[in-house]
Amino acid sequence: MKRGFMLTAITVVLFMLLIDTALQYSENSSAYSKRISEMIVSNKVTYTFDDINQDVTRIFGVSITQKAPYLVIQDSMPASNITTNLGLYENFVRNYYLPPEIEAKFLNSNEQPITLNNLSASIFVSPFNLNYGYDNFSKNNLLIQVPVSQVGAIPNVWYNLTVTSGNFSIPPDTITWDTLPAGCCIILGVTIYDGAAVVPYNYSGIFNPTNSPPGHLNLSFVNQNCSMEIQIGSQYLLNLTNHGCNISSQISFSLNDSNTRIYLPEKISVRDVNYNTSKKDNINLVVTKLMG
Amino acid sequence: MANNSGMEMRKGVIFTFDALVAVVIAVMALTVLMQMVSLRTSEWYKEIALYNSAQDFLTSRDKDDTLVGAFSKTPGNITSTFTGLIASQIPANMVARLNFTICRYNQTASAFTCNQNITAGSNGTTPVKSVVRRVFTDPANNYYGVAVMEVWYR
Repeated sequence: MKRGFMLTAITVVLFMLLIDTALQYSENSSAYSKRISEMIVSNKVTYTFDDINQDVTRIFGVSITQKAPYLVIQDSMPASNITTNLGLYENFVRNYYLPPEIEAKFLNSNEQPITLNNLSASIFVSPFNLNYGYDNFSKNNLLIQVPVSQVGAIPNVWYNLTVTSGNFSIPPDTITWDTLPAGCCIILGVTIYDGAAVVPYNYSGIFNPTNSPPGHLNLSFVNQNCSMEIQIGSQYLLNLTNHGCNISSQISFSLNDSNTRIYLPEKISVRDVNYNTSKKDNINLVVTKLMG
Repeated sequence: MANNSGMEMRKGVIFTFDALVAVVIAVMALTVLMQMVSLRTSEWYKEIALYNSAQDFLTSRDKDDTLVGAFSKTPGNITSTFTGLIASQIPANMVARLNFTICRYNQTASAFTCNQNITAGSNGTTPVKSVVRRVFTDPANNYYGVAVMEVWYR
């Protein structure tokens, strides 16, 4: 009798333990499933964010390459329709690309919603706070600035410009600066090719972007008449004004920190409305990093 | 007295036996449940692998400009190019289908004119397990496109 009840009691306890284990297992596996599905959703949100960043870089018309310690920005001037193309891209993304569960917003630096065609024509390079930008997206006035405190972080700059629309109005070896760049201690190299691309104009020297008056060079081109003005100094690493030339530029910096990030002041916020998972960050321009 | 005790003893044993049978049934039920949950878990992992493969394929084709190259191809060329790429680049145990929407902005009509009937890869009807989308553009020529990749296991 006693033994029977003992066995019964043990069996009941075992049975309760079994039920408890089953419940716990079920809870754990449902939490696990939730984690996995959140992982896929985060992946999707980040992927959408990167996808849009890549296209914005393309519409911006710049190609950025980094091979430590050098950062090279390739660009062309003037540009047309960038603002229109940004607007069309946003329209296309909203109507054909984003699935119903994904929401994308563009925000200005104060985190207020904007349309993509309101992006500013300025690129920032952190951690130097170097600003590579234009007055507007017609890209006729290129302005490169760096805070005084960061001047020492940029030992060298090279400006390679090719004017494809005309030839030098005077032989390149007779070109002279109105005022030479001066001050210490960024090493400067300027190379300018014309449409004939046979003999370039070369200048090398040392300057400080805070130096005033700035170095000033005015270049005229013939065949297809145009000119450009270069100022180096007076707060600018480069202030290039284009008067009707077609210019391909390759601006190179050597930087004392290769851990750079290139971004616009505006942000993208991408959110999955079902899971409330989101990613919000500055629009990062795509940088091709070369090894070696 | 002895008879009563024997009777109660038999009752206890039967009761215990009954409870043991219940526990055995419960263990079996629990085992089946665990198996099912475990199968579901491995399904999730398989879905992640599918998603990542499709994502890698589309990201690589966007970065090497193969997607943008589609703008200058005929629908037939797009189909053959991407069917070949899928065959060589998607893992052998997976099947993929790409659906393209290729649009050009028509400035006169102020609207996108689109071709949404371009497909590459498999025509299989197995239920799709994962879907990845990629947008690409050639702004200079007013072209905008979306590639939607559906992937599943053979």
